Amino acid sequence: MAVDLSRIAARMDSLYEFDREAVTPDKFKKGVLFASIFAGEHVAATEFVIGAFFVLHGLKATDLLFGLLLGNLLAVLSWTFLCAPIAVDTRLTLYWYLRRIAGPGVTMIYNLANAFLYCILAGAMISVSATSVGLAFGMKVPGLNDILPKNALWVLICLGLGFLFTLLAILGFEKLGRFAVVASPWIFLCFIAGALVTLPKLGVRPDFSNFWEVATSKIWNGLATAGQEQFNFWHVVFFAWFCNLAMHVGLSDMALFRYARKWTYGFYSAFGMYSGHFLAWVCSGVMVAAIGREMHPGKMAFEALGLAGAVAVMLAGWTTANPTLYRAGLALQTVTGWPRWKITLAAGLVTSVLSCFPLFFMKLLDYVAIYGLVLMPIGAVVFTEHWLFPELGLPRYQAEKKQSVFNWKVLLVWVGSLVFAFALPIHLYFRWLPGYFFAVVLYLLLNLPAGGRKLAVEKDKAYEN
Amino acid sequence: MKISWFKLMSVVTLVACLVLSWLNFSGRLRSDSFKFWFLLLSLFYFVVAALSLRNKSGT
Repeated sequence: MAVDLSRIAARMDSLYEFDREAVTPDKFKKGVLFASIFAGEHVAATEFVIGAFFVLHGLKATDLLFGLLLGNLLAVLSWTFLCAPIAVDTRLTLYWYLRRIAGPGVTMIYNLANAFLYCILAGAMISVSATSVGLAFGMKVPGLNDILPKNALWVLICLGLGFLFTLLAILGFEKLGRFAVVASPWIFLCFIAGALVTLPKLGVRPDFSNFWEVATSKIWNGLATAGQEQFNFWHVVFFAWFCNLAMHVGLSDMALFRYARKWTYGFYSAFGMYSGHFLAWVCSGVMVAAIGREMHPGKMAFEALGLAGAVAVMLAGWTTANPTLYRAGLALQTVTGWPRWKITLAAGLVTSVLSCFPLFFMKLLDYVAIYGLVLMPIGAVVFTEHWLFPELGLPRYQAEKKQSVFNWKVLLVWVGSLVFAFALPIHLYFRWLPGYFFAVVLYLLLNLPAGGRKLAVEKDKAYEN
Repeated sequence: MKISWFKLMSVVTLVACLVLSWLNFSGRLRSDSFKFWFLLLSLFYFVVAALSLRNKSGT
């Protein structure tokens, strides 16, 4: 087992070798690049679904708008004050920093968890694309509470698209990644244009004089669709905040911010939050209201923009699923040692099968919450070790110093805080925050008995020098 | 130089798409015509945006 783990660790290291070294000042990037990356990344297929679900969950217009303003602000602040400072301080990716703290074994488990979660997310994106392709065949989209596929055509389209996306991911991520750069401004435009041309169908006059009246009575009227939970202001705040929890609080965007000149570049995340997670969500809400609150992204966009709308939904699904499949393949490659094409094919096939289950698409909001929650404790551990350990005189990077494969304390905190969070008698959306504090306190408590603290700090400094 | 022209054209095309949407919203362009022109401009956008990227990689 130990031999296998060390072999896997060696494979992981060689795969991530290119970013092993801390980023040097000559490679720092300008702020405008961060703004464009965030703006491009956060206008995706999920936006067609999330904004629409807010309408189905019976939000009031004021709750939605103020909730999104606050929730997105909290997300921006999380990037700025949690993720960016650690990235700028270390100039490392989360992979390499976590390896120092938790050991290659924990890093491997983290990679596997990430890969599995990525596959489900990519599956949901394929489902979103399938709703637009299915329009051409008159396909019936699964119901809001469907878990299993009930329709052979749905399964066929999902599998077909899944296979196509997988094939394209195998053929070349780099070139396709560049296509996403072209597609994302147009997809964002489709949200804005789609909502704008939909407004007259809802009764909005060309001078916008009755816009608020229509918004509060026909779009976000506070009435949840049958079978959907009633949401309020706090649901929106927390959803907008944790929507990218793995990236900011979970610190996976260290990979991006290690290229930042200073930690304040975290504020550039606002370009993604207030375009994708504010405007696009509002726009998809408008579009879903015009089709009788049916969760059908393809139909939503087709009714508004015609064929271009259907293409926008399909492209949005593809451009999101493609890097997701690639990342899943990358993470799994470390464990299997298979060539990239083979592991991407395997991940793609699993993802295609998952996409047939409407559960992941229809429960996307809950899934996003679980995705962030599962990876959040790792962010708490890294935050504690980076900022609190030196303050308390606790020794850092124990796994690296002892050359241990597993830092059991990190694993215990990960599992313990997840058990704690899932046992809390509160709504799923609110669980991550107490879970995060629990993880910080538990990791501190587990490390407190390690004696000789002042000596440890001195050793730490000597070690780092 | 070519890069900036293609890039400029792609931005102008996106603005034109937005203008079309506004015309449809304000009732000055029928829905069918809007959808047709929106699709056509979108195709044009992808061509010029792709060309701007291709030229960029060539330089």
